[in-house]
Amino acid sequence: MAKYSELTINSALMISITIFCIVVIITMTFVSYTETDRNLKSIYKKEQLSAEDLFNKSSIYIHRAYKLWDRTYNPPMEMSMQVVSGAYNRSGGDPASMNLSGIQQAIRSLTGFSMNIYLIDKDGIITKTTDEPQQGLDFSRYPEFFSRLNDIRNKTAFVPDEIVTGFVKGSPHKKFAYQPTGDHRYVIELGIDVEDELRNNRNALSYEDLVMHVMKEYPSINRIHMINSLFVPDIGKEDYQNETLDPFTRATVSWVFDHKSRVEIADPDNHTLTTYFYIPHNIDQSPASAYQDLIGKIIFDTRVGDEDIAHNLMVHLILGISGSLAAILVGWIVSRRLSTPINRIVDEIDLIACGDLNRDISPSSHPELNRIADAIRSMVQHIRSMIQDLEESESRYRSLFKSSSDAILIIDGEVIRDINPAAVSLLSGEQEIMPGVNINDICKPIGTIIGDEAGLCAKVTSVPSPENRVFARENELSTIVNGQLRHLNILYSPVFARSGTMIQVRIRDITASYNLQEEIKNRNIILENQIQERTQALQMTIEDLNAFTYTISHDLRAPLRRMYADMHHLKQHLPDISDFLLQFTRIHENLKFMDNLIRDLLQFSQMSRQPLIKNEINMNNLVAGIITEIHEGLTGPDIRFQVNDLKAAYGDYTLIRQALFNLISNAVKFSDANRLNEISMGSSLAGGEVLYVIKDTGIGFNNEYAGRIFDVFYRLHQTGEYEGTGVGLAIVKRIITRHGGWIEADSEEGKGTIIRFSLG
Amino acid sequence: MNQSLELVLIEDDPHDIEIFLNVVEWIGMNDKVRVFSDGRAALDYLQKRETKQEGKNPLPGVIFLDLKMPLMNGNEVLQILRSDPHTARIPVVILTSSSLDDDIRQSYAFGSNSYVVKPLEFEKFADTIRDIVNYWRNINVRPVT
Repeated sequence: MAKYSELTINSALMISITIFCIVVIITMTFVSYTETDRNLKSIYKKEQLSAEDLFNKSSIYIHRAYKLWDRTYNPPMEMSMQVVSGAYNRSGGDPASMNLSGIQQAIRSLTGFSMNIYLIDKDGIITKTTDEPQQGLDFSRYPEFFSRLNDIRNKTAFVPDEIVTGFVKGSPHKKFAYQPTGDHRYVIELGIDVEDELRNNRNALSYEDLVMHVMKEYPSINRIHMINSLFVPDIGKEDYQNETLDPFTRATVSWVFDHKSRVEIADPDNHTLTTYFYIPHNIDQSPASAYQDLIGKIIFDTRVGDEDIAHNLMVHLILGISGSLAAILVGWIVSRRLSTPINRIVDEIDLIACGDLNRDISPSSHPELNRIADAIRSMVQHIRSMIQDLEESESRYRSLFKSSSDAILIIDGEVIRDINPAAVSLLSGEQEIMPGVNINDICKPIGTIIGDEAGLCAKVTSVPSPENRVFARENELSTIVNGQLRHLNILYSPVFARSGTMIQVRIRDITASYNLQEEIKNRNIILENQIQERTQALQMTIEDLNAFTYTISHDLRAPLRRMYADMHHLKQHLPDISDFLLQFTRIHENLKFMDNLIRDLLQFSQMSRQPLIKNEINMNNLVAGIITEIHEGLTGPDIRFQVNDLKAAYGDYTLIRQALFNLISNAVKFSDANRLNEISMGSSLAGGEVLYVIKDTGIGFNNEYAGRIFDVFYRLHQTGEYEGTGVGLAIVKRIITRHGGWIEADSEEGKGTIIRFSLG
Repeated sequence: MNQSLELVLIEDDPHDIEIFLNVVEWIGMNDKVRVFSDGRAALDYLQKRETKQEGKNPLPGVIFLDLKMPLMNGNEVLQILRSDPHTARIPVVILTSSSLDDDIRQSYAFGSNSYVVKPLEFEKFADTIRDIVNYWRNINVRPVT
């Protein structure tokens, strides 16, 4: 079984849709959140900066307006300074002798301003003044200011200071100016309480108003401070009045002064943002300018902004969570809608797979699922027809298996899976064999039945070893079954099944054919023996025949020769033989005929024993030689030879020459003495073989005997009429048949004979 | 070849010996024929001549040898003659009634110089013997042994 994933289509669909939606929603929410957050922060930042800017610029404008106002006091104070300086010079450099109040009067009448006069000695102590409370004030306590006083004392210039006032609305305005005495022993200081109508205008430029205004414009501002370089907070709040700044603020202010820059300090715990920024006032180098440069300190209340940001976060969080929940819901609904019909079809397929092939798949609203259903239907149809085929095949096999005269067993491992009736009847003894029986359990009984326990059983169980299972094997076994000798042919062939390889054992009783074979074998042996015996007899006969021919050739000739010798002797020694000449001649003729006969017979008998030595034979040359030879000995009627071009032959030269010689001499021998004879020869190709023809115009013979003229000793004419022993044509036939050819004769009495032959 | 060289006939049949002698007489050289009726005796004579009286009694001019003989047939005699270097060169003429191819082939294989089938007619027989003797005695030239 394949391993299936635990994730159903339903869950997979739901999870994918949900994840997709959640990712989209979260991304959108996040983008929206960051955008809003950024906008909010930027708005707050801009507000802060614009508050700062407004404050900064406004304070500079105020300061510049102050300057303009301030300058209007410079000319009368310089003029007054001349008066004081002249008075000092007239006193001879002794302030004590100077009538300061008189001078004050003179100045007022001269300039219209009431000025206080201070004389500050080189130790920074006010030695004489019209401002009684300040008598004896020691400026050396303020080292920076004191050093500036010394600078002024050592020079000769008139040095006006700026109008000095507190930042608080309605605080007194004072303007001071400085000039050294001619002997540089004192610095003359003039001070005016600015009390004119301009002061009211000046009051309109109040820092305090500015602070109020800015704070009103920017509700997020908690508080605004202005701090000068001496860390004196100038805006009247109680905690700054006593000049106590905590060290951290001092350090920060000092850094901002030094760098002429700005600093922001956020305090999220208290929801404040504090900014320190430099306000540049010291346009000129007045002695008190160090007190004029300022640091603006604005404390913003960030609570509202922080709350807005937090609110923004909260809104987006709620949006994201609710969106995700919605996505899960959508995913679930969509996947439900898709997977329900799939699950239904799967359930139906499951039923089909469990064997209910007649079940149909209900149609679906989804075309894809309908296609699946169609495919399943056609598959089921295919399976049905396959099952049908299988059933038919099985039934055919079953009937074959049951009706087979061969015993068939199917063995799975050691267990008999199937067995046919023939096998049951062959192997069953006391115990019936049926499927499911272990082969080892029945092995012994079977062995007993067939009388060969070690044979069949051992083979049935041992041969199909696993490595041999793919090969069919055949064994033959002779054994005793039910008391009778049976010959069994056992075929082991593998049967491949899902569960593994099983062995089909087919036992065929071949006793009948075996016996038949045995009989054939026996008969063959007998036949072989007979043939051998006959061959031996034949061999002996041949040997006898050889001995006989030898005897003929040797022993029969010797008496003939002796008879000749004796006849010769008689002829030589008889006184008168004239009366017996005829008898002598006849004896001579007979002796000669007999010798020829013996010679021919020997030749004939040797014909079949000589081995053939075959070569290509030029028949034209051969025939020409024979004709020449025959012509030489010719004494009878005139004969004309006509030889057409003869095709070459393939055979034993000596024998072929012998055959042709016999044929031609035969034709010559039987020529008609009363007319001109013609012997013609020719050859042609017919049916793949060369046909030779010898035609004569001799006496011929009755064609009835045409089939017999090639027999030994067969003569058509009386002995003496024509020469010959009657063996010549027999020799010809034997030579030609030994070459695998044939010969025939065709004749007509008084007309001639045609001989046709082929060497095959 | 010297005219005095004798002819040797090895033949078992007395009639054939008689005919041969008649033929020799007929052609006029009967005093130069030595006849042996079996092969053993002939070989004894020939080998003894060769070993004991070398040079004084020259080897025969022609040996006429019959094939069919008791005890030792003609081909056996021929084989022994040809295997002995001293008799190997004597011309041997097979004189027999057999015209069997096997006999002819065998005799030549064993080293006979001629194979003659005894002619039936006396005159022809005589002519044949005369021609053979004439050939070996007067025409053919042999190296001096």
